[in-house]
Formats: sequence, C-alpha cells, structure tokens
Amino acid sequence: MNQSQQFILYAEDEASDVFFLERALRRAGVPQRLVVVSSGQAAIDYLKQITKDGRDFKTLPALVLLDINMPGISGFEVLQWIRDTPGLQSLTTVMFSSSEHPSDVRAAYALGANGYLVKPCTIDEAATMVKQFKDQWLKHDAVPTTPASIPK
Amino acid sequence: MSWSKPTDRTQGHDQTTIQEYGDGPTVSSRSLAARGRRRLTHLILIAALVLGCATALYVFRLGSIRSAAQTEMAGQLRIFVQIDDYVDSVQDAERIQRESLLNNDEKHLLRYDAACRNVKTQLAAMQKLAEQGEIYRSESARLTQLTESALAELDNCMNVRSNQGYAAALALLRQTRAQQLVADIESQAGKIRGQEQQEFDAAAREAEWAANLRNRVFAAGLLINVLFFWAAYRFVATELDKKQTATRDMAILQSVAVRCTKADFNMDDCLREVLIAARTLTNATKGTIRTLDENGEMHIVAHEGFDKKFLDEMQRLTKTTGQLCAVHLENDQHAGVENVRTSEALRGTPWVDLLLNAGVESFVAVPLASSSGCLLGLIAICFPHPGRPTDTQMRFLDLLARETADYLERKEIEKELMKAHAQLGNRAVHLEELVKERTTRLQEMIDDLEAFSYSLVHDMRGPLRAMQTFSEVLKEDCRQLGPIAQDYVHRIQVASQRIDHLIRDGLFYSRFMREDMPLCPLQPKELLLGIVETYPNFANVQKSINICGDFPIVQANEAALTQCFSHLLDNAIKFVAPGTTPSITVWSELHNNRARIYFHDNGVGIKREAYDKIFKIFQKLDREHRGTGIGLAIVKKAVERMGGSVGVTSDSEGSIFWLDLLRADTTADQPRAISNLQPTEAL
Repeated sequence: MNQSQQFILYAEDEASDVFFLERALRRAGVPQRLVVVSSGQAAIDYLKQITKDGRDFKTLPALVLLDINMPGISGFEVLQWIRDTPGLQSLTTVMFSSSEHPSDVRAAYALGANGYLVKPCTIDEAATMVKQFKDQWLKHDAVPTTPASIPK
Repeated sequence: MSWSKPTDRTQGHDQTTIQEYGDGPTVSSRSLAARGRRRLTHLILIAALVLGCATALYVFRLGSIRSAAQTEMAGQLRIFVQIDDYVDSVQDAERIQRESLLNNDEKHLLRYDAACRNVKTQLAAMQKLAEQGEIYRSESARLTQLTESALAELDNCMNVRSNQGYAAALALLRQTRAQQLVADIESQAGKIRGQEQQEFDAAAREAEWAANLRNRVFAAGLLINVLFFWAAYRFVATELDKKQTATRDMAILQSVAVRCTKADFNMDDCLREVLIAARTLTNATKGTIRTLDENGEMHIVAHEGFDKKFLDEMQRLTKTTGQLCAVHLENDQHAGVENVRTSEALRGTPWVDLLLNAGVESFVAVPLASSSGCLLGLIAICFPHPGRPTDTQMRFLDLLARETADYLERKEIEKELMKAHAQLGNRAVHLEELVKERTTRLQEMIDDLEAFSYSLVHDMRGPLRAMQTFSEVLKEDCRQLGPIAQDYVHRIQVASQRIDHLIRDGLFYSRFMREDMPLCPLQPKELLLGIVETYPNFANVQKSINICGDFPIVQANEAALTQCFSHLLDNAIKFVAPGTTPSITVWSELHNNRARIYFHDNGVGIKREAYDKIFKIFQKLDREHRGTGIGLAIVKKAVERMGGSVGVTSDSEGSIFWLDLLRADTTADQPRAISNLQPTEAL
C-alpha cells in the first residue's frame, strides 16, 4: 500500500472546518493529501472524473469524509450515489457532521456509511478523532487493489 | 262518513244533526247507575232471604197448629172410646143382672158383681176425664148420678130376688125402671158424645185449614223466592258480563298502550293497532283514523275495512262538500249518526249513497284530544247496522282516543327532538372536523417549529465551533500574545463553551420531548460505573462517587438514562460549597414496586420551596454555580417519558435526588436470560 500516493477526499462547505481538519491532520502526522470539495455536487463530479479517466483504482481516495448539510446535494445523497455507483461501492466513506441527532446517525449507517464522526469542538478532541480514523482507515485498513468486476 | 270543518258554516245543519248524540253520560251518572243496580241486587237478595225466613216460620207455625189439632182429635177419639166403653159396661151390667135374676146362682152373681165393678171403673174413668176438663163436669155429674141410680136400682132388684123371690123381682123388673135408667144413661152419654163430636169436628176442621194454608204459603213463598233469586242472578250475571267485557277492553287498551310506547314500533303500525282495538271494543266493522295537519285539514292516516275506491271518493267529497261536525270534536264531544238512511244531517247528500254502498248504516267519531288539550284528529268507526255504541264502549273509545292522542303528540315531540339531535350531531361532526383540521395544522406548525429550532440550534454550533477552535488555535499558535490578550482569549473560550453546553442540552431536551423512547432492560449500576469511568468531567472526582449495593434491573432507554445519571452526578459535583470536596453516594431500593435510585450529595442543598422549580427549564437557583438551567429539566422529561418520576429532599448538609424507574423483572418483556438462569442457580 503506497500511502503517500493516496489522498482523503473531504466534502465541506465551511471553510473553518476545513481549516481545523487540515490542521489536525497535519499535527497528527497523517501523510495523505487532503482534497477538499465545497459541495456534494463537486464531490460527485470529482469522483466521476476519476473513474471516467479510467485511472488506476489506486488513484481513488483512501477515505471520503462527507459533511451532511451542504448547499444543493447533501452528504447523504453523495453517500447514496457512491454506494449506487459501480466500482465505488467499497470506497471507505465516513460522515463528518456537527449533528449528533440519532436520526442522522441511523440514516448514515442505513445508507452504508463506514462510520459517523461528530465534528470536534476543541483541538484536543480533533486530535483524538484524527488519530482514531488514521489508525482505523488509513494505517491498517486493507482495501481492494483492483476494481471489483463492474456489472454491465 | 264525513265531518265539517269547524269554520264551515254552510254545513251548519250537518253540525247540528250529526250531534244526534253528543256527549256520553257523565262519569258520575254512569257510576251512579252501576251503584244503583248493585244496591238493588243486594235489596232483592235480602228481601228473598227475609221472605224465605218468614215463610219458613209461618209454615212451621201452621204445622204446629195442625199438629195440635190432630192431638186434640186423637184425645177426642179416646174420649169416644171411653164413652162407648162406659155405655157398654152399663148395658152389660143391666143384661147380666137380668140373667142373674133368672138364674140367681153363684156364677151369675159373681158375673153381676164383676159387671158392677166394671161400671164403677168406667164411671171413675169418666169422672177422671171430667176432672181433666175433657168433658163438661155438669154432664159428668149427671152421668154419675144416673149411674149410681141405675146401680142402686139393679142392686135393689137383686136384693128383692134374693129376699122375696123371682116373682117379686120380675114384677120389679117389669116396672122397667132400670131399663129406663140405662136408657137415660145412654142418652146422657150420647149427649156428651155429641158435645165431644162437635169438638172433634172443630179440631179436624182446624187441622185441615192449617194444612191447606201451610201448603199454599209454602208454594207461594217458594215461587216468590225463586223469582227473587232469578232476578238477583240476572243482575249479577249482567254485572259479571259487563265486568268481563270491561276487563277484556282494558286489556286491549293496555296492550295498545304498551305497543305504542315501544320505540321500534312505527307509527303506521301503531295507529292500525289502535284502530283494530277500537273496532274490537265496539264490535264495529270498519274505521278510520284521521289527523289534522298544520292547515287544519284532515288526513286519513289509518283505515280498516274500506277499499281504496271508497277512500278516494271520500277524500274527493270532503274536498267538495266539506267535512261534517268537526265542531263537536273541537269541543271534545262525540259525534255520530245512528242511522244513515234516516239522518237529517245526511239527507240529500252524496254521503248517504257512498256510506250505504260501503255497508255503513251508522257511525261514531271520537276526538283525538291529548292530555294537554290539543285536538289532533279523530277516530271514526262504522257499523253495518243502525244504532250507537253503549256508554261503556264509548267510555273505552274515549280512553283509547286519549291514549292515541298522547301517543301522536309524543311522536311529534320525538320527531322534533330527533331533528334537533340531528342538527346537533351535524354541528358536532362539523366541530370535530374543525378540531381535527386545526389540530393537524397545529401539529404541522409544531413540527415545523421543532425542525426549525433544531436546525437553528444545530447550525449555531458551526460558527460556535469555529469561535472555540480559533480561540484555541490563537492561544496555541500565537504565543507572543501578552497576558491580557491571553485572558481575553480565555474568556472567549469559556463563553463559547457555555453556549455550546446550552445548545447541546437544549438539543437533548427537545429530543426527549419529541422522540420515541424504546425501553429495554438495563442494569443501572453498569451504566453508572461506565459514566463515572469514561466521562472526562468525573475524571478528578471518581473516588468521591460511591456506588453501593445491588441495583435491580430497570426498564429504560439507555441514552435517556445515561443523560439522567450524568446530569445528576454532574450537579452533585458542581453544587458544593467552595472548598468542599464533593462526596456522592448512589444506592437503590425498591419503592412501591419501582426501582428507586438515590443520589446523595454533600452539596449546598435546596430550599424546600424550590423543589418544584429546579426541574423547570432555564431555572437557575444560583448565579455562582455554572449551569445551563436545562439539566434537571432534561432529567425530569426523560424519566417521565420512561414511565418514572423524579424528586428531591434536601437540607443544609446536602440533597438526595431520587429516580423512580420501572422494574424490568416485573414486566412481561424481561430478558430471557434472567428467568432461565434462576432455576439453574437453584439446582
């Protein structure tokens, strides 16, 4: 697994949240690049672009973080699109939201999210969280190296 | 049959003549007649009894008279025998004396003596009768004198025979003095006998008279009594018959009344019942019931025995010639015609033919006047023969009409009531719909508001997070800030933290208020230990929290119970006097079949009057202690949603908060593991 070549795709419309996550990742020493898109549509476009170019499966993001409340297409819709799109079903997708509402959490897992993270309020919390998902999804997580057979 | 409208004066002659009989007899005169009949019956019976007694007494008296006369006759007969015996004895004595004169022997002398003794005996018997008054004393005395003379003459002759011989005696005998005396005696006895015969004849006449009279009196008494009893029987039989008819009629009336009060019986059927009853009561063949509408016009609502053609014709005639004698009905009087053929009222009208063709020879109508005095219509019944119903029948018809009128009036009221009910019902349905509609709208509004407030509160956290984090970043990254700037940044941090807590608690509160809260069996002790160990708030005070004893398994929602416990523990730590180390004891007891969990702290305590206040949202008692004012409101709401309750007692040494929760092991859906484990452990 070539970690350096992988990246994290982060869909977020709030600039400060992007700032804090970038900072937390940097301080936690996460090597993956952070690619930020500012809306659900942008995230879908980005992923479409990757698969359309027929790039190597390795060029897919190691992790997709989706905010829920975004203008236009919500994080849930992006998640659903990912799970419905051939070749992207196994993409590690985690919801990243300020909402702790159980209905949001339930909806996320029902749609096939790999996890649900509540946005941290302090730098300490952010550090703990980043360390957690670094260990779970970026360091030890095994992902398919070739694309799954794509049904026609 | 027809009736005149009360206003139709052109039919005046009808009105007057139809009143061929107006009102029936009054109640008092009717009852008087009945009472008179009863009294007469009693009188007849008493008279019969008295007469019977008198006859019996008189017959008895006559019997006694007759029997006395017969006794008298028997006495007379004995006297006759006595007189005969006496005369015989005298004649015997005279004959034997003559024989003795001839023979003069011992034997004849003895016979002569016996004959003389016999005469004396008979004479004594005669004297005795005289003493008893059976015969006249004077006659008896004369007889005695004659007898003594005769006996003396006989003795004398016998003495002459003994002393002077047969010839002397014969000479004496030839003088026939003795025979003369015997003849006198015979005549005297005959005289007495004649007298007695007269008495005997009188007694016989009296006996015969008494017997005849007795027979006649007996026969006459018997005849009169039989007559009396027959009359009384007739009276009683008539009364009984009347009573029976009345009983039957009352039964008919009652059955009609009972049926009319049944709710499921419709009006047409009921009126037909009434009409049938009216016919039965009066032995009529046909009839109609007509009611008045709002315009004062009569309409046939029930009929019996008439065909459609007649009814149509009647309706037509009523329209063209008007109705008859309704004025009497208005006055609550009967009206009717005793003979259609001869009625002055109907003469020359088409009614005569119509009625006769229908086989109606007479008719009567009673008004349907209710107890409240409303005239509602009439019952008319027709007979196939001239005449009129009896007073009793009219009385029953009146009762029936009154009952029917009341029934009709009641039905009318019921109809009005139903209408009112229906109107009310419609209004109620309308109201209900309105309420439903508005409730739905309100619910929508509440849902909208809740969603709005939730997303508002939620969205507030974004910028707040930015404030918090940026101030932290500022503190970390810009170490060259002076102490004053550092203090400001700290203040920003503290303030934003408070807002964050407020928002989070607010979100929890609204969640517990709105959301479904599924309950499952939980062990509170595990939950408490987990909270104390993992929550950063309690990291420094873990040793001060003492969870002791066993806790029953409760039926609760984990998230809600966690909130309750953490808020209670948090408060217990927070609200202590400055410089005091918090100390909390948590334990559980069973209380009214609930699991009660106590949290005893050494805090500042709560005043009694504030016990209720602290569970209300945004109520803070103390400005010095930090808090959002939502914590206990969340606890209360969450516990109530789980079917439990919360309370507090407090003094200066601390407070005891308690939670009452449903017990899992007393409810139906207790965990299977527990119930299965128990028998195994017992083994």
